[in-house]
Amino acid sequence: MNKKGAVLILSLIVLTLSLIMTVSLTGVVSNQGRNELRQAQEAELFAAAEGGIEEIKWRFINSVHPSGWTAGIPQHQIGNCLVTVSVTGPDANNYYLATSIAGFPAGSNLTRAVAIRAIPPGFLSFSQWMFFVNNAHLTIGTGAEVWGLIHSNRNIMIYGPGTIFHNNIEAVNNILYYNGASQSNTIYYGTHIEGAGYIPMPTSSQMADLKSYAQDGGYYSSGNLTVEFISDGTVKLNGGSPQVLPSSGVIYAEREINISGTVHGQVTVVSGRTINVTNNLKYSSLAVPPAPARPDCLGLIAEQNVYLPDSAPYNLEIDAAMLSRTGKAYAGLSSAKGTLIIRGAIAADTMSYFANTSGHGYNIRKYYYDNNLINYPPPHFLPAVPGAGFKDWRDMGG
Amino acid sequence: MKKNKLKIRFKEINFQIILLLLAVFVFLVIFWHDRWILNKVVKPVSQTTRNIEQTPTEAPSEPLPEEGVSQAGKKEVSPAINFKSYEQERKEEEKDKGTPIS
Repeated sequence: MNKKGAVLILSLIVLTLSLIMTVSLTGVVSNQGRNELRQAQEAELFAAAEGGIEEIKWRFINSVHPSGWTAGIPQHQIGNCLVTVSVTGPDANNYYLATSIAGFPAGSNLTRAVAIRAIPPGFLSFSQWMFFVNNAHLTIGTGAEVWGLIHSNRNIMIYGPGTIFHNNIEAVNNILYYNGASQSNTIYYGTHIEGAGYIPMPTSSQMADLKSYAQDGGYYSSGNLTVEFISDGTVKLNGGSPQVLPSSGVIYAEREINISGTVHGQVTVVSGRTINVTNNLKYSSLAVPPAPARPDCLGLIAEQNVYLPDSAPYNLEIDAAMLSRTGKAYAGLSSAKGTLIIRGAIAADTMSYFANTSGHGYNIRKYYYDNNLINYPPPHFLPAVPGAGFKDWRDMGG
Repeated sequence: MKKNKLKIRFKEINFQIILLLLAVFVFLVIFWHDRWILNKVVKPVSQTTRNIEQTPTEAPSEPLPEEGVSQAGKKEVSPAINFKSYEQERKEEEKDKGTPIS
């Protein structure tokens, strides 16, 4: 039997099979590598998109970023990825939608998007009400016209006919009418609700947190402090040379603060005792339409009172969100004065007043809620509602 | 006949060497590939994760202005001179305020 060539054929078969196996194995390894690379890129993109969401959340919560948050964040690099955060809204429930999209600069068409809903930070802050009173009845008198929400943890008492409320008002107890006032001669453009939920005042430890913002990135005084804002975005402290507004957004004094001037920027002024508004206190941007993307805002937080002294101007304007943790906002009532205009918000423990029934104080009082406080409350203004106000986190995929 | 047997044996040895070389080649491919994944993919991803964890406080694209921090970040404001206190006025106010209204 002639077996010549059998080994050669056998060798060829074995070699061919080996070649096929090698090529197949190489292909499998290569595919596995590609898949692993893709998984790694997906993970990288996901983490970068999440980074974009964290950035916009930081801006929501802290309210100190110069660019604000409503315009989103333009394309920028996070790790190896390019991330863009867009913000749309508000929807019918006042929520904004922030969407973070991550991609690679080159070499891959993969993208990943993550989205989250956020309620404007003003709705979580004590700056959301035109009037908030905790430990007293809220008394509104003849001559008052109020724009903005009102909340009382006790009653709302309306003295005299013709008081005008442009927005919703609510009391934990009742809304009561005196001196000829009645439901029919009180003008409500919004709802008026009795039996609303109780909202507690901020705690002393939350006040103490503000001090750390002033000591690290702000201005801090262990004594009294005179604050004079300049319209170019600077501030004079105790008569010194003008300084830029603090990057942390907080100016804090352990004792009294006398304050006046024109604010250009975002800042919160905190006193361990009382803040005296000695002269007009206004925003620079209100007079220059259209309003800038990041509006001016001022927060006044006093452990005790916000006081308008007798020496304050006959006609006075205050643009600020005010909070008196254990006291009130009030005016000296030694003489009859003209018009008081407050554009902002007032939250106090006891009843705030700027006139009396004897005709002393500011006889015309106009309270305009500053709608910018909803999206841009003053930096680190104390929270009224616990929680961060985010919901509906979603992985939108590639 | 003897010459043929030697030829066949030589071919068998040659074939075994080829198989051995192939096995070595496959091993090298797998080894190189694993090292490539480790160096090019896994390490950059972990680096990226660390970067992202830092971003919320740093806002890399538009950093916060440093001027205020460096000027007065840890510094206390100098004491007030001739500060006008309204404490006495407020005390008088508390005594006789009539029926206050907002």
